[in-house]
Amino acid sequence: MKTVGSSRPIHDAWAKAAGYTKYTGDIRLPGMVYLCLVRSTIPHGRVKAVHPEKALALPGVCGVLHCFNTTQRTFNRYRSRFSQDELPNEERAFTDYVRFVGDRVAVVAAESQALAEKAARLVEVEYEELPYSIGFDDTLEGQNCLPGEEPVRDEVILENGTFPQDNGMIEVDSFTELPRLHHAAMEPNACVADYDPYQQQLTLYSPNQAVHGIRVVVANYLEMPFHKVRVVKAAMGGSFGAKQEWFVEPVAALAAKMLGRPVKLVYSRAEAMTGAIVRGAVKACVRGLFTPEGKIKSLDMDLILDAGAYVGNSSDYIRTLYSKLFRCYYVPHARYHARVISSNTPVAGAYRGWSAPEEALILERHLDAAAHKLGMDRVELRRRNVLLPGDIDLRTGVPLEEIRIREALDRGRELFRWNQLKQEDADFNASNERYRRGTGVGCGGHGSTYFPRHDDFGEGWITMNEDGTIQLKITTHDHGCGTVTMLKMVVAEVLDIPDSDVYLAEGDTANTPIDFGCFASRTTFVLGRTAVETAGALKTVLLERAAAIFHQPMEQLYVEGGAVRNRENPNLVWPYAEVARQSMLQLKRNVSAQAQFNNVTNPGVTGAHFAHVEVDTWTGYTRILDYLAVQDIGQAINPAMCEAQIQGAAQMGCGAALREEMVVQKNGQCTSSLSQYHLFLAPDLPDIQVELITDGRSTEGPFGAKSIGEVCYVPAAPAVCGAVNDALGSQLGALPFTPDCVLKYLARERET
Amino acid sequence: MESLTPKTLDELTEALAQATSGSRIIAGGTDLVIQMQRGQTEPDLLIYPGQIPELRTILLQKDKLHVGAMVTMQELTAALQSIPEFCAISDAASGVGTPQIRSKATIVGNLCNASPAGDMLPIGKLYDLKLKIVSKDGTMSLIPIDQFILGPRKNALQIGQAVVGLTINRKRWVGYVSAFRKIGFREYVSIAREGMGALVKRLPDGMIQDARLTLGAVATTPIRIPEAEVLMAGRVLDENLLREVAAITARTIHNNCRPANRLYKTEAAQGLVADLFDLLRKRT
Repeated sequence: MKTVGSSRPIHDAWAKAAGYTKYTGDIRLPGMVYLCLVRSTIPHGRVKAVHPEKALALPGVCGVLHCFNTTQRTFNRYRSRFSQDELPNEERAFTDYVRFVGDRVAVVAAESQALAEKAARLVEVEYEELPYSIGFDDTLEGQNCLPGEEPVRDEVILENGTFPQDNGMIEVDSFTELPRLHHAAMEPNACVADYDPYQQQLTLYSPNQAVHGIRVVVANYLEMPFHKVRVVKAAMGGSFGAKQEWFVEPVAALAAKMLGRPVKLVYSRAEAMTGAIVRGAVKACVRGLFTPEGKIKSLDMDLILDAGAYVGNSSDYIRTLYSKLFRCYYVPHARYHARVISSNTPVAGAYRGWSAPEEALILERHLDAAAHKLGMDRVELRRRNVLLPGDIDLRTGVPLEEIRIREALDRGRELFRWNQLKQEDADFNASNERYRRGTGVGCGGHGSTYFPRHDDFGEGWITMNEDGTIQLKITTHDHGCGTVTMLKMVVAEVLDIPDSDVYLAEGDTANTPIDFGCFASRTTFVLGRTAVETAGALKTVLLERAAAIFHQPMEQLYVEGGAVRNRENPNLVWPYAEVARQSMLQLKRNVSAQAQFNNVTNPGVTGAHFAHVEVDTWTGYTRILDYLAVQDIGQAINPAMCEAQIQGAAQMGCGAALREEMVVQKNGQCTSSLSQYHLFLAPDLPDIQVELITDGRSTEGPFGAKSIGEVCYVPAAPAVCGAVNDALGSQLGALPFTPDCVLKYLARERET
Repeated sequence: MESLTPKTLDELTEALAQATSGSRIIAGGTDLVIQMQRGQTEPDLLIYPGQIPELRTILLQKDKLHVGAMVTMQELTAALQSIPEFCAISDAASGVGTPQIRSKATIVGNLCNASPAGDMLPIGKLYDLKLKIVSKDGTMSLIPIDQFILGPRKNALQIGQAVVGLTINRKRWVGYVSAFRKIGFREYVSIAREGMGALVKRLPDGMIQDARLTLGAVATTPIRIPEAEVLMAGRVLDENLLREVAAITARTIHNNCRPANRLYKTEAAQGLVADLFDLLRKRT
């Protein structure tokens, strides 16, 4: 392979670094007005009145839309395809029944951003307050329930396999509690909406993960036909799941339609933190049964997810979380009881990994507890339980193909010097009063496609220009992680041209084929393969045209180096540009093709991460001394990009393990500034070592590739948490392990 | 909103004459601009004194240090980091925010903002720093730090006054070594949860003659730890002294901080003092 497997810069990295990239926030349409939302200041209640008079009195304020002068129609922020009829429409653009501090009550439109913000502060809202709840206990007690409501909004019991009857099994119990998390994408949620009343045509520009999903939601919400709603994926400054649920788009669309002017809605950081989506708070108990040799016989998990103010994706989320139990370990029997509750807090939603990181934190904590109880090495215990090549996903029956999690553990144990480090740490800790060192390991699995939950497919359109360069249309949504570059490389490989000769527009419902969007880590696997098929179809067309134009036998022709050649006669070379031009001139036909790919596999894709930490027992700080991520990736299309994604995942995982936490105060106010949300920064980290295992190739992915974007985040926080517990000799399960948490633990230990 | 950019001290006093209770003086803007963007303050008049040359100078003389009100954290760090008695200042200035913030933020702005977590507050108290203030009638006055910081986000400036600089009596601290250390939520880009400054004068054999310790981000205004200061005299910076000073510091923190953070701040005192001692030992 010439292109695939070599490292390329991300297509827009230079432009972003230079400040040239035009984000949604940079778009200025003629006549555009700026929106600023008025949000609920109370956690639960009814809006009695909205007084916009003072805001409207400011020169330059164009209107105030609120719960009493806009439609009662509702939408579901999580809907992303036409077929999800089971999802309730539970949100209005502006509500007179507020369910959390930050719920949308009104929006002000003004000639400038500053004016819109100023006017929004002048809108007075009268509330009738209702009892509210913010935590697991008060919510479960029904403290915020209206008459007729139950505290548990959804409940599921699932079981796979049969309960083991073996003698001598060892019982292990563990408890994990995970706080709300913020995605911390550098770019906040944003949308520019433009409505042409003369053609009844709506155009939306936003950084998003599914243009066609937004079209479903907005078209239904505004009762418009699909062809009148155009959604364009704009340049994106990160998502991590924050831009795969729709609230800015329906609100901006409604405002543009009502005001008759283009509008721009850009969330502040505080809004992106509390008024968008968060990763939901979860707590779980696990009871496991193990053989004395450390083999899992049964796992019984009881879990509660706090959906926050709206149920959103939470019903699907708890079910998906269960399915992740079967993507990394062999679990012959599992029983799962999960409940969704709805407190008066920011809305839970998608987050990188979509429940797999939570599942891994719960399960890896449990495995560490099991290793402790069994007196077994933590890597060895995992080795004995991981899925092996040829195994199937016991929940879905789908083959896991060439899964490489055991190899990842073995490779990591050796490269990380796991056994030596354990001895070195023991020596260090014995001779050190202040600092304690420890090692941790975490494993995790994920998927590469929706299959088999939904049937998955991709479609591509491709054209060759008159100069031999390529126009490709596949509905991709690059978050900033390089999927555009990946697709160009795949096409370049098939056609044997430089990837710089390929142009790829991103998702645009008016111009690119229908697609399910960037979910389920499916872009490389499903759309990458779609690109292979599409480029392959073009190659066939090229050969057919060349045969016809130049009167050659088709079977003698092949492509190499951007030209059609004859195997029998090396002197016969027709550059692509020549074929494209002659096709138009002589055959009066454009060189173009179209292809669809139907995906029917979902191989095991996994990783094992290793962390070495030093905990300062006098300040509670934890320093990451060393970190290794081993990923079972199959073919890395663009290895440098994969490594960077894995390094970013490690950084996010360190944050989740040690610092990040959205705290809801007693009055319902939630953390709303990065000055109180302590992300891991580059200087906090050592060099993140990355090892790619590439021989566990997929059958369907492009050139054997599997997913990477989400799976590499799954093992990160568990590895770091395990290392802290190892250093302290503790069994802490409530994240994050902040300095406060560590010193509180040590103070308690001292007293007992 | 109007804005004025005086280029001389005379123009500054003229500008100050136009100030009302709603007017603000902007230096680096790293606090004020955020407050303005959040709508917490909407000044009728902004005065930016950054073009007055005197306010940009650092004057390091044998007997005193004078720092202009527009001197940035970055400039101050560079000027003082190799001077033992002023290392505490550069420790604190170099730990504020990010390089971008430090290239805009000023030491005087940090004092005027009077956030209890401001790193320059315990520094000010450590050195008995005085603020040089100009009034709209052109008169100059010197106010000691204790009379300037009145409470959380509250300083002693009157309408029509501005700080033009600060002075430290260098003679008082010749022969001392100094250090500052803070604990935040992370090592970099972090607001202090507790900060501690120290000035220590030692004999050639290491015995401490005189010591001064201040704590920031514990109470609403910076505090001294007189009990520990007395204890340190006649001792050396060894592990025993460390334990005793840490215990006193922990007690002081416990008695002065809000209950919400008491456990952490008290427990972390040991690490804070240990790190501070490490810095002092390196600076003999």
